[in-house]
Amino acid sequence: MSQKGQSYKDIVIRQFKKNTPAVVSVYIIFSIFSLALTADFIANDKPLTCVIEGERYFPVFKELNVKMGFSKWQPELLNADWKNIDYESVVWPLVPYLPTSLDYRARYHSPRSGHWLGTDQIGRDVLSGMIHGTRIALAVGLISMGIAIIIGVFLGAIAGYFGGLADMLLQRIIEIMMTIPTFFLIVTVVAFYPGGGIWLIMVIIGLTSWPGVARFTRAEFLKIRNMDYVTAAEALGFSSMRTIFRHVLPNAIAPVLVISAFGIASAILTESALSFLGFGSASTVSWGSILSVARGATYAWWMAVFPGTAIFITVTVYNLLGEGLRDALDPRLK
Amino acid sequence: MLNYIIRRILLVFPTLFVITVISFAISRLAPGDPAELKAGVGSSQGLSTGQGRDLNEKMIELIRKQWNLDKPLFYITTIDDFNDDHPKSFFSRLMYRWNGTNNQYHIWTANVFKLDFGKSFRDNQPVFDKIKERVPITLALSLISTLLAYLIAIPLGIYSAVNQHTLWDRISTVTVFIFYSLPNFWIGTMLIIFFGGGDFFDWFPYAGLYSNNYESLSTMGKFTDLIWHMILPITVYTYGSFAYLSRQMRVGMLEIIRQDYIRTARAKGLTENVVIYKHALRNSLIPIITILAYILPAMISGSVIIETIFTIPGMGSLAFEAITSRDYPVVMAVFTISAVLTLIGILLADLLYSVVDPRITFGSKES
Repeated sequence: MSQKGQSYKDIVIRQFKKNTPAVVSVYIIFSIFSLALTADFIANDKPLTCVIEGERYFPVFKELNVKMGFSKWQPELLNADWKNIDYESVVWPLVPYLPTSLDYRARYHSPRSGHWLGTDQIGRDVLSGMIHGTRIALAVGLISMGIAIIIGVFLGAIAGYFGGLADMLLQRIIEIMMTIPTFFLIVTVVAFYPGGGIWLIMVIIGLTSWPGVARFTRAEFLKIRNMDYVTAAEALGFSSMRTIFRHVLPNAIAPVLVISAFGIASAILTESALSFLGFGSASTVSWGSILSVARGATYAWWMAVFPGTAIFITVTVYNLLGEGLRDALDPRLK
Repeated sequence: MLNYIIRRILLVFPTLFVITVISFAISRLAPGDPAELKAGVGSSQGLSTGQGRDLNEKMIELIRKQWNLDKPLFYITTIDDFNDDHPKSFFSRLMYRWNGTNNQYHIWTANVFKLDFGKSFRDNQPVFDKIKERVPITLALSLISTLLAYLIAIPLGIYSAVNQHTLWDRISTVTVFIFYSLPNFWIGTMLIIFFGGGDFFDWFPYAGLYSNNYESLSTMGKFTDLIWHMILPITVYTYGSFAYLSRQMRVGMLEIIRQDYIRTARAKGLTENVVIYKHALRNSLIPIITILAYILPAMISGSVIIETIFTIPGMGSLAFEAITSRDYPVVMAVFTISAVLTLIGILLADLLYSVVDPRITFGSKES
């Protein structure tokens, strides 16, 4: 059915590009990623560059180097109070606060000059928290879904390829997983192990969201395992593992991409819901933890509107990406 | 069909086993000794010096006995049989001991089957009584909002599908998609901030199910008061599942009206209404019904968030309180009961599925 010189991939890409919302979503996801990567340079309580007593410093770069262990702070700058230094010249980042920097003179400020999106109950800047929060949202989405994909693809592939007892077992396990109140389980584990932090959240979301991936992988393997090229691979004496992972898997991965996009969206939602309920990691500021402040202070509308919008946009673009991929991969639409 | 139902019911037992093991494991393996927690050690009430400490240790001992915490956890215990004189590898020195049925898990599960979930760590009330008070509220809210979601979603989905590519279809598709991605905890907070008497509109109460003067109201007054309190939480409960359902309904309907038998129905001169509502609707409802199996668990999970936001005394807020105060018996009970409710929901959806569609047999596929 494909035209001359066009691979399945070309067709999928062409179909995907026709879907404007999905393409826009890809751009938005890229923007969020760049924001996450450059967050330290956009929102930081140290100057980007400054001249003190005739010497030029690059405190933000320096801080990154120190964190990665490449360099050490000069002793005179180790505990510098960057806000109160006499600079000869100074360039501040766009938002001169870290999400954790406290500004006791500005508690519960509504959006205004200086704190463009307002501050919380202890004077932390909301805009800065929003910018640094992109990291947590993206990391939670990618890492937890990565864990789910590794488990789900592996189990789904084995069950779909071998069938029989393995398949029966996997299906029963999935059915059992479906009845477990997942969100409740995640909340309980995260609350009972408060030391786990953001990593525990990622791992537990990953460990509870693999059944979806496994189901799709299994279904795809069931379809593919009777195809001629699989029989050929078997006839050539390749091991089952080689046939599964080198020959079948690349052709079965498409639906996994679709479910991963949706899975990332729901992982981000779960993490924000956890932080919103107050079970997130206490040391990190995430969108959900900003939103949770609004629960106790109903007049602080800015604490609800901005982080909520950020969560909503991120979840929506991943969902749109998933829809776009699904429609592009669906052969019936060609 | 019968075969399938039997298999389904047989599966209930391993499912229950896994669920009870998980719920038992998270509460027993969590850091912190439940007995010390119960005795209040480490908290401000804890006695930590001299005579007080002895008293405390005795109390912990007593609590251990009373709550069976001195018994082994599970049927099997592993013992590290380490011997300096004959060093062995890690795995060969591991020994297993069979504890018989006199272990914590067995005692707990056996009691669960008698609907005895023990007593709450917080107030010593029987856990089952506490939950029995709360379940009807959560179930009522879930059922009302599920019903509402179906009642709005089905006509909207049909209308959208029948009038595909019209302006109305586009608007409703986009709106529904936005609804679908809106986080419920955000919408709940926003509704309270903007309509619950903050700095904006004071239209709805933001907490609880009753006004303070509820007892003094007439029957009609009680009813309107209840409705008035339920509008915000029901809105938050409903919009998400409504959006999901209406999308599914639209897609299902679109698929059905492309079928040959619909063309046949039109060709033999039936009116459009008969074609849509008599021939297409029945078949497009089938997938919608199965979604019930997914919606019910989602609602029970969602109740933790929504009931906490709106301080509704349901199972979700009970769960939240129990988790934050580490009331293990309550956490385990809520976890088990909500899993069982989900199990029942899925079974019902399956049965319903075979009732609406006689073609479905659930037997093994011959291929």
